[in-house]
Amino acid sequence: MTTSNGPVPKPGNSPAELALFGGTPLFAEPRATGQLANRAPERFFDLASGAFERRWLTNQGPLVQELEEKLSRLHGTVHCIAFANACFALMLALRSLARPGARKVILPSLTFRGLPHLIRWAGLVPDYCDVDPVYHTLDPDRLAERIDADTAVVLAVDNVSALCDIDAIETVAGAAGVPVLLDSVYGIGGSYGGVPVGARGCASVFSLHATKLINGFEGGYLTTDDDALAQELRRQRNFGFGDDGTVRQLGMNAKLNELHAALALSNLPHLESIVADNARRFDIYRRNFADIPWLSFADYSRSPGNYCLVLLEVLPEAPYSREELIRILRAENALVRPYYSPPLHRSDAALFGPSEARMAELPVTDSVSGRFIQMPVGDTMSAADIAELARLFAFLDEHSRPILDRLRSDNQ
Amino acid sequence: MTGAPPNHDPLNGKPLHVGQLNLPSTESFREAFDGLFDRRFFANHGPLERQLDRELAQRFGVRHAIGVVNATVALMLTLRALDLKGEVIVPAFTFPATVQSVSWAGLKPVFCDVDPDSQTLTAQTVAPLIGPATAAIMGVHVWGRACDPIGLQELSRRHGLKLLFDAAHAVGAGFRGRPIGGFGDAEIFSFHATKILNGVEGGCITTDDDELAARLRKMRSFHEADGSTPLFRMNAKMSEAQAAMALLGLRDLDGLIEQNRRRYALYLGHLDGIPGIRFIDYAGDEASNYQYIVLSIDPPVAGLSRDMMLERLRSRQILARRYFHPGMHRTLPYSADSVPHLPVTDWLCDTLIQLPTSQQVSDRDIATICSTIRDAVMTSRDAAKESA
Repeated sequence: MTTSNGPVPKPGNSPAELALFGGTPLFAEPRATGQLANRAPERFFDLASGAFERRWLTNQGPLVQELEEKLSRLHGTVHCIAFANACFALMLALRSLARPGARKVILPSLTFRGLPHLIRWAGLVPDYCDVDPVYHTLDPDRLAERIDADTAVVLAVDNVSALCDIDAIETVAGAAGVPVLLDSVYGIGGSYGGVPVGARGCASVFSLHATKLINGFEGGYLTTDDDALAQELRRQRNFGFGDDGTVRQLGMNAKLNELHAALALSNLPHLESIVADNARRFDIYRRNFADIPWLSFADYSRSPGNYCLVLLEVLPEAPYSREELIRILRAENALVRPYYSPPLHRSDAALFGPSEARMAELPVTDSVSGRFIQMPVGDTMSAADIAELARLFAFLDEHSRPILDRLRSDNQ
Repeated sequence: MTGAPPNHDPLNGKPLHVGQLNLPSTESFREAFDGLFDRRFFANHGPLERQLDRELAQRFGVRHAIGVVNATVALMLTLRALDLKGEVIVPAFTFPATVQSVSWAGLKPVFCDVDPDSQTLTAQTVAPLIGPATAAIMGVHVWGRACDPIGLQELSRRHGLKLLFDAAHAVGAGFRGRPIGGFGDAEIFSFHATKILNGVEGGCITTDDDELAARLRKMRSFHEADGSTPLFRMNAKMSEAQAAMALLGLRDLDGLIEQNRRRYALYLGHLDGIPGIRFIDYAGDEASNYQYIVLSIDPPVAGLSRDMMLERLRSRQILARRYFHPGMHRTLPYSADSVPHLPVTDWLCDTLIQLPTSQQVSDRDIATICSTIRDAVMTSRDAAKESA
């Protein structure tokens, strides 16, 4: 009955059949929470073979240039600058945009755990701001309270379920004279009332990591209309070299290579179908999970529409805790994760050390970070897989008492 | 007359570049990438990257090799992992990455002159610069020649300093029977496409220090979050594509070194006896990868400057390079305050020339390059004699 890829049908009669209690996992192969799309491998091999013939494998080769041109068209910006990954783009952009003399970067605490490290690499310090309870993006009112003379940059983040409130954020930051940088990794494909994501703020950063919409193995890029910023970042990603080959400023190696660009270029034409598949999967999730009374999904009404993550909400009346559900699902080879949990302000006190008073100022973040599960998505996840997960949840709902008894007694 | 006729155009008009660009066979590339695609494992410390780390550790004779996205980021991470404060003594005769990584780690580079023969730092050149603020020494195995590893190890031990080596040039090189990779606290290699081991981009850190290795493995990604997060983590992951390329390159490495050695010997033979031309000597008793063909030009004897020689070569589509030019002490932001007096570095920066050597460079090309150099010297010396 077990196929290498398909789910293992479960009779669903006894808690002992759960993988957590020693049963056979629902999925023989892990189901991941990333896109992992690879839609045109032959196109990749063609592009790679061109790079080999040219003997031009990195250092701003023709494939990187082509990718930059196509992405700047996609986002409607003057410049697109490719990087070895999105982290380097953020780090270098933060350093370039920071207001001289100011040290703090305001960002949500409910976001990617790498961001505070990148801020530190850029010579700045993180300053966490609470989020909106519905959209989970920077709350403009809280931002207005936090912003001050020591704010160097506002790092706003677009979420998969909701784009940030860019109009309000730009108004607040603009009044204080602080530049806005956007982490739009999850905002790709969306638009802020007609303006494509990527074309607002001083600059926006995107990822070409395999788990994201456009798979380039690793990779990232920044979009901007600012000529001076673009010139500076193009230098900084290549050791600060100017056009004449002499070093003009501090830089590093943040170059995207040609093989990574080749994979991104091979997948880029399939962006629409990847997004359509995601939307279809999300719809299947919603329909299949509708009958479980203690589950919901994040509010996607302001989403960019790429559905690259499915955020399942565990409601307060659920018999299981979010963590118990995650343990059960992971044992079944559904590699789910808690969504942005713990939040950044609670993830490493030694590094970022917010005071107790500051911790108390992020109540919405604390609440949201306890409730959501990132469900399996992407190209490894079929409609049948989602149906199986829904069956598993129905089983968990029906047999919650004996399952929880066993789960909690095993823990003691 | 030696070599090709004066108007011979190497590679039928295609320019000859410096840099190795060693490529795997089409079949082995296809096989490796088909496997990668079948697994759908594209990044995030996949099976190829883990295998590469093991094979590199074995090759370099060290306990740990930690693969990362490129060598510059490897240097940045290593300096941060050592949690240093103060100054790092570095050569100015190096690629920008060596010095810039020190700045990214929040440290101050202190430029040290190099030995005129080895072109590297030595215990002798470094010792006078050690002061109360010195935290570490970072030597560079320029051209793959060992940077006085024993002398610098003794010196750093005596002063309680950390010792790192930028081994970007040194994959496959050795010193007194030991592979480069196990000297100092850590060494950093490059797998840039122009280097002998081609990971497209890529690099690794080698060390025998278990604690440093564990810290670096955490710092190179944001994956493990166990509450003991080190400072300054980074997405420094090497992709499976990079690891696949580097693994294929490792398989061929000994053959590639042998090809380089053969081209080196050809260059050596053709250039022998040209006045004012000095050829970098890879001393016979040390293991080298021979990936750099480097000459110094002594203008008073050769009758022309290094830049004039470059022009002559470039006019024949031989795209030789100045390496390194200018010295890092003369670049921004370091030159903004003051430029230290580094006479050997300045002399090397003004007189060195790097010539093409790769699978794309044929024996006939080497003969052409060398005859171009010989002709340039001879005509310049004749012209100088006539005007005298």
